[in-house]
This record gives sequence, C-alpha cells and structure tokens, in this order.
Amino acid sequence: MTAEIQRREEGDRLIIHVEGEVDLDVAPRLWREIEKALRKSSNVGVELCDVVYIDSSGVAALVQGLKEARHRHARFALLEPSQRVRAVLELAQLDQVFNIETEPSRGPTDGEIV
Amino acid sequence: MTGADATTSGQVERRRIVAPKTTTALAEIRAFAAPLLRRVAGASADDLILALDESCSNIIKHRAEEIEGGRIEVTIEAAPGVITIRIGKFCRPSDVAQIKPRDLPAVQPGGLGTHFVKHIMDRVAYIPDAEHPGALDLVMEKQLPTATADRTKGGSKA
Repeated sequence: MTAEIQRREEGDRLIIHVEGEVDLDVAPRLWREIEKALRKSSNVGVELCDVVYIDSSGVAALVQGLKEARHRHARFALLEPSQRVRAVLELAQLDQVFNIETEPSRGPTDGEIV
Repeated sequence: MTGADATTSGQVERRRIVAPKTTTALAEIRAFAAPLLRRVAGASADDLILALDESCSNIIKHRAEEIEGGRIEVTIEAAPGVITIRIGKFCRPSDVAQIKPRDLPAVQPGGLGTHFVKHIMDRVAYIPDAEHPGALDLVMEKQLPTATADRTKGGSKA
C-alpha cells in the first residue's frame, strides 16, 4: 500500500489530505507538500483520518511543519487523526504539542451526492 | 530482489525475509510481518510492526553499505509467550553508542524511532552476527500475555 497526498482549499484554509501509509518512503513527499502549502497559505491543516500507518519519519514531517508554521506565524493543525496516528503521537508524547481538530472538516462541496 | 521463507518447529513459528535496503521495501517488510504479528500479538501487533519498521528504517538511514551488503534481513520468531525480531547485520560495534533515543520533551525530529523501539520492546540487544565478524544483529523481544501467546499455533485449541 502506498500513500496518496492531495490538496484542497476550504475557505481560507489549505488542507492536505493524506491516505495510506506514511513511512520513510512517503514522509519526504509529505514534508514537501506541507512546505508548499505553508508558502501559499497562513492556515494549513493536515487531514489524517485515512492514515493507517505512520512512523517516526512521518511524525518528523509533521513536526517540521509545525516548526515552519510557527516560524511563519501561520496556523497549523492536524485534522481528524486516525486511531493509529493518535497512538503514535501519544507514544512520541507529541499529542499535546499539535493543534488537533477532531471534528470533520466541512468543505463547500461536502454533502453534495449526485 | 526480495526473498522470504517460513518454517515451524514444535511451537515456534519462524518467518524470514531478505529485502533490498530501499525505502520502498519497507512497506513490503511490514506486509510480510503483519499476518503473523497480528495473529500472535493481538493488540500489540501495530506497535511491533512500528518497532520493526523503525529498525529497518534505521539501517536505510544510517548504516554503511559494507556491513549489510545492501540488504535487510529480518527474522521473526513466535514462540509461546514471546515474539523475537532479529535484524541481521544491523550495525558495527562502533555504531551502538550512536543509537540513542531523543529527549522527548524536545519538539524535534531525530531519535524518535529509537524511542519507539525502546518503549515498545521488552528487550533490545546487539549480538555478534555468527556468520559475519564485525557485524552485530539487532535482537528485539516482546513478552506476550498468555492468552495472546496461545494463538501462536493458529488458535487450534478447541
């Protein structure tokens, strides 16, 4: 299984949606996407509800993002982290460090089923 | 090229995989280990997969090619009450002092994988590789609760 990373805008927030497994192979790509997003927006969320695996390199990408956001005085949040992501953040004792939002994000097009 | 085999001896199940030392092989190693670990370790399986993955990542990031020959060798043994993960030719004796967990309160990358491994596993040791002088194997053990350990033989108890 590989990871998919997609970007979308919701209001003034740029959201990076991550799906799959975030390991040493994927983490550099995640960091690049976070860095790009922080260049474009002062409000970035990383949506992690569909992440089934994350390791220390994935956590490191998120930590880098947090530090970069602080440096840029930007908002940076983890959105709906999956149970596994939460477990690893707790193991790293970083669950209190990140701004974690557990409510599902509701974009302008959400709920439109055709 | 990846190779794998599986053997059972008495109550001990053994799985071995040899994979290239590449980041793309990590998912393959996890997928190889997951079925056995999920069956015998129950709720601990996800953490054991993490410890295995972190150790393999450590080889990719830090180890010299002349030690492991560009390959990652993983052996998993499931015996009643204990899981043992052995990673062959993990490092040289001089590398051991550099394998340290980071100071957790520091919000920074680096050393986190080693912290995970030490937190998850009950025993972590570096043991001389019998076939490769100058190389150490990483041997990690996790004790399993008795009820979980009973599943080592595929839950065959009636």
